[in-house]
Amino acid sequence: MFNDRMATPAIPERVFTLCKIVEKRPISSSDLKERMEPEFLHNGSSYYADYRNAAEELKLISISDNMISLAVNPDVIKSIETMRKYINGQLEQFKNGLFYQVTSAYYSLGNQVLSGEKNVAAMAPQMSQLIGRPVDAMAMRAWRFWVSFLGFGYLQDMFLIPNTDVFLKDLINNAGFEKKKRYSFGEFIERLRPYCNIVIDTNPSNRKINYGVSNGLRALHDSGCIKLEHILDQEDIWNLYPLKAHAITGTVTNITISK
Amino acid sequence: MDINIARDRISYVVKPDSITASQGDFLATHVAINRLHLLNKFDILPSGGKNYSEEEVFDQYVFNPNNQHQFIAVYGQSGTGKSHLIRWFEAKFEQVKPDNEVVLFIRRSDNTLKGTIRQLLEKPEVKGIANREIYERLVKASVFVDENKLKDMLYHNFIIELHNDDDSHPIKITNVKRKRLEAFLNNEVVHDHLMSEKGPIERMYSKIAEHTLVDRDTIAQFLPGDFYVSADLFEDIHRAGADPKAEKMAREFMADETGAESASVLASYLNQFVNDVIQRCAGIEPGDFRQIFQDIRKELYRLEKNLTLFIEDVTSFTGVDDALLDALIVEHTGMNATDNLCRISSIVGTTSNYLQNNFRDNHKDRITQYVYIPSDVFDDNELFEFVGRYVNTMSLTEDVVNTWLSNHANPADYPVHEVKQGSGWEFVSIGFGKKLCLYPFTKNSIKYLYNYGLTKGHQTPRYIIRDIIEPVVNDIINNSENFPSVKYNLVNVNTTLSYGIHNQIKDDALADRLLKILCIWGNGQPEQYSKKDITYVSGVPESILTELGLPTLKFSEVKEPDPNQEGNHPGDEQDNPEVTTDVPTVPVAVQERVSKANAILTEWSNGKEIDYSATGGVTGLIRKAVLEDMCSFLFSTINWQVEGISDDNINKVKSSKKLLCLERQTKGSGFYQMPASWESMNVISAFIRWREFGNQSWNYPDSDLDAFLVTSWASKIKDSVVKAVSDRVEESKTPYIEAAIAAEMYRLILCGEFREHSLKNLSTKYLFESTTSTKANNCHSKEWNGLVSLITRNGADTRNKETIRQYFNITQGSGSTVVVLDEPELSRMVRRVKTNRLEIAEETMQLQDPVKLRRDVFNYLKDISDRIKDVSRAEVDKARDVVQIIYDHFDSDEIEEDDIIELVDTAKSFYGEINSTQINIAVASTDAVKKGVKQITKAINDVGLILPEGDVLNILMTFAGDPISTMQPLIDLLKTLDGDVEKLDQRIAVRKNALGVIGENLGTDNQYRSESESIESDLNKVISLR
Repeated sequence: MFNDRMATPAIPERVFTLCKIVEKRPISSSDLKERMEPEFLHNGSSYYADYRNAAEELKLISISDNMISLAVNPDVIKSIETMRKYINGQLEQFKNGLFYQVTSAYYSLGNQVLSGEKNVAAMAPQMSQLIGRPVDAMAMRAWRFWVSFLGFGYLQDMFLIPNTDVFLKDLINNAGFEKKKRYSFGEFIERLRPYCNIVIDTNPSNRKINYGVSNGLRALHDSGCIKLEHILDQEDIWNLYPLKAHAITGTVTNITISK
Repeated sequence: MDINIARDRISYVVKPDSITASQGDFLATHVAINRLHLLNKFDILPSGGKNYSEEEVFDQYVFNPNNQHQFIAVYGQSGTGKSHLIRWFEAKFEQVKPDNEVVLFIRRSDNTLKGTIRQLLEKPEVKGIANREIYERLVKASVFVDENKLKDMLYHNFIIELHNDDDSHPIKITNVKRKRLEAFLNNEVVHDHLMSEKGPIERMYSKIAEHTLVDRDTIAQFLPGDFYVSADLFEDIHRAGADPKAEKMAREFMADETGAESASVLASYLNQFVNDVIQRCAGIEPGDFRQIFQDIRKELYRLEKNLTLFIEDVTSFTGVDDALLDALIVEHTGMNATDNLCRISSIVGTTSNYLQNNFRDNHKDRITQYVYIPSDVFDDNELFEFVGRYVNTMSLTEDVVNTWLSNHANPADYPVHEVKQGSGWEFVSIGFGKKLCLYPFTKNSIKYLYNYGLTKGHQTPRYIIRDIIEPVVNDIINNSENFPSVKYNLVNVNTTLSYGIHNQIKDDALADRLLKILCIWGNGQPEQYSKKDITYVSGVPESILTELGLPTLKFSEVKEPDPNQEGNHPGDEQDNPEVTTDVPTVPVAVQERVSKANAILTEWSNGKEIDYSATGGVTGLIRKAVLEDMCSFLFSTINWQVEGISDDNINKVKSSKKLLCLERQTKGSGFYQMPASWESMNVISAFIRWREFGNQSWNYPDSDLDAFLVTSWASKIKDSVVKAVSDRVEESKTPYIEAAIAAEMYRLILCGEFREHSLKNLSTKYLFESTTSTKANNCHSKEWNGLVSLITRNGADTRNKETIRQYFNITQGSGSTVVVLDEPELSRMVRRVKTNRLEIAEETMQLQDPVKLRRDVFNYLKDISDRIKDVSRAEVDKARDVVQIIYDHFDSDEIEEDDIIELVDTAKSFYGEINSTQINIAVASTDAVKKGVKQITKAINDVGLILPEGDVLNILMTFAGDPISTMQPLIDLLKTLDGDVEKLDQRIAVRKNALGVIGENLGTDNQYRSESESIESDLNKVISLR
């Protein structure tokens, strides 16, 4: 899912359930499969390998001698939200993976996605062109499950409206910012840098934040999680996607993590 | 403005009734009317034709240059300024009138019959008229009558008139109908109804009683609506024991098709008696009034004077209006020359409606000139001037105004106040190089409040004064720090502006004030521009915002507007800057539809109810946005499984009521109610644009804000929406899946699919395996089979099983045939149900769940749990009867396998002997008993252990395997043996009888002795086993 092929059955909820089963004790792969897709269901085919592989890629589980064990601290899978937060901290390891590259390409399009295809599956050719490797419609369908789960945007049927508020919130929590302290925006980005290149321009000199991340920052500002400011005498000025009606119309220099 | 002066003066200057203002204030606030229409024939709503100024009308007609008899009717809708114009005519006439002209100005200040006559008698010119003493006595002789008594007099006088109707009036009704109407009016309930505060009697009372406060343009008449009988009113009439004739009348008024017409006819019929009744109750006769006028005119003729009469409002004369008009239309020349009457020129004010309905045709024909005042009497500049003059006059001291008046109120000398507040606000030019400060108004605000603050029909000077000038000025005088604090009707608020303000200002009260200022005082657009180094935010100078203590916001820079376009609002029909400039690619018709929908939403967010039940039209847009697009968006954007709501649950919710509804919606309901707020309005508008502008996409200009808005809204309300659809909000309530599992477990037991005596081995596997059809031939009780039949009826069992299967299925997207189990949750839930031994207390069942399919699950379980006690008792009773047969045969209730095996062996031996004696009895098979001896023994013992009042679930599990069926082979064998023994006895007896004689005579006793003994022995054994 994250290294190479994106498969629709490998959805986050199944990965989470799998982890919860192995949390108790190591279990053989066949027993694990029998727990989630028992014979008595007469399914005919199986999805097990897809979501087990995704869990393995994310290093949530380890497989040894056909025995599957939890590979992370149980706190990581305390809830599906904690698992999401963990995964959002791991994404940069999959730079060369299809999921990472498609996500990166999607957000680099900025607000153009609003005037493009209404179905992400139909964006496959465009994505192939942007990342220079084949992406098919099925892969895009699988991508939408994870990209919305990880908090990069909001699904509207088969379209993803970019707004990274949940993803950013996880990153902020992972980065360990001091609450109520005002950071320069550049410092803020630098502290997120180990985790955020997937959607934030890797070239710091550009100081431009795309539409989806700008939406996320503004949503967090509106909900009181962060406070964005433009302080006039500051030189570290970053440009959000301009929205004249919003309190933060375009430029920001500082950020305070409120909660 | 000078607030210090205005604070004292406002109550004197701002008087909707122009007649009560002082002459100085009246002239200082007067704005010339230039849109008068002149007509020779009455037309209730004249259009087209030339506009005349008030000066032209005065010079040509009111001044009466040819000194002739004339009767001028000045009419228009209520509040258009008829009184004002007549007063202005009178004031102007006083200045230029010839010496021999007597001016009589009849006010309507106390608005009563006697008050009107009093005004006439107070004129110095008529001090010497004949009969003066009589008239004064007439006016003063008003007997004080109690209010209720006077109203009752009015009411009963109508009944008297009706009773004594001699058909002398033009409108006639049949005798039958008259009697019914009389009975109807005599009914106590009807009496109270017509005497109510808004009823006809109150209207008439106001015309004869002194010191009443009523709308000056009230007409003392019955209206058809007074006789509309509602179902409730009819019920009251009926309950009060009405006369049958009264009931028949009430029924006629109630009729759907003809009721309104009957009410209209009878109202007109009763109105014929209004004059007579009012006169009688006021103690004045028509002749009195005609005589007063005759005497006044004769007196003036004697003094060689002429009379010019200004009557502010002829409706004051209800009761004697015919008499008054008769008196006014009498010319002094021709046939009347001998009466020695003076010439009379009458200028009479009346409402269009009164003129149309209350002036007889012969009066209308004798009106020499009609002057019509249209409702929209002012153009924009005149409107600004009107407001400016009021603000100016209240900022001037009375002395300054009076000095100007005493100097002939020359327009060139018109005093302008020293601006103490609002020097940076807008001014309006009034000629002669004079400019009036509009503070606390802007031109935009005057236009906005005129267009949207006043209802249609109220866009007249009276209401401009009452509903615009007075409240706004009072607001700035008394509450400047919260200005504008008055609640205004915001129309078609630009959602970007609304969002921008509320997003940037967290103080709601401050944000609302700023929104009001920018929408009403400004142009309502989310834009700013600079003009001569002044920044205008939404058309309002920043300095004004600062002065009012409001923050300034940053919006998109636009070009300075064309002065000709200044003052347009988004709601103005002629132009919509937002739509035309921002959405050039969207067809105009679509823009208009969206704009209208936005206007409805604005009203809703301002406190009105909303009905969007219609699928078509503009409300259809709102309906699609809320019930289709927004619900669909939330269903797809919320990851329900992640939120702990299974796909099965969501599918059940989807098939129930709508996910969303709106606060104050008149019809329908939903799980999550959107509050009537600016934020909700913005989000709904965004979805309307998504559908209409983007053709169900975000591909339209400025969609970037809309897309952000809807995502941040979804993020904000997600938890509340999840909570609204969840069935696990109340800890004390059982989730439906628990009920489904319990019901399925009961079904497994009742259908014999799970036959163990403990739930321990009831694994999850059972819940997912397909059901097996129930054996038709079983030995369960009637009650047991009845319950099985009930729970499998119409596929209820299959649906319940599918609920369990899908509930624990972790689905992807729109689903798949492959089921992946949420095994931990499944195991947890199964454990819980088993621990509770399938019991779910009824009070914890969500039997009122708004989701029908979830409710069905509880009802399914309830169907089972309501019956299992009776079922178990019936099953035990039946089993006990059966097992007793066995106990009786073995003469013991402790039966072991060996006992049964022994029985089988004996039975075999029995049939062997029978066979060897060649008695013709069929051999009964003992194979079934022998084969099932273990099960039979267990079944007998299991049933034996059951106590009738024992644990119901235990009983059900005991009988799940149908132990009576298991015991059946043994029962059958015992019964067969019983029958065969009996048969054998009979056969032996027959044989013995046949052998008895032969033995005795032939000495053959020993021949069968051994066989006989053998049979006797076996028979005894069998008998002993009975």
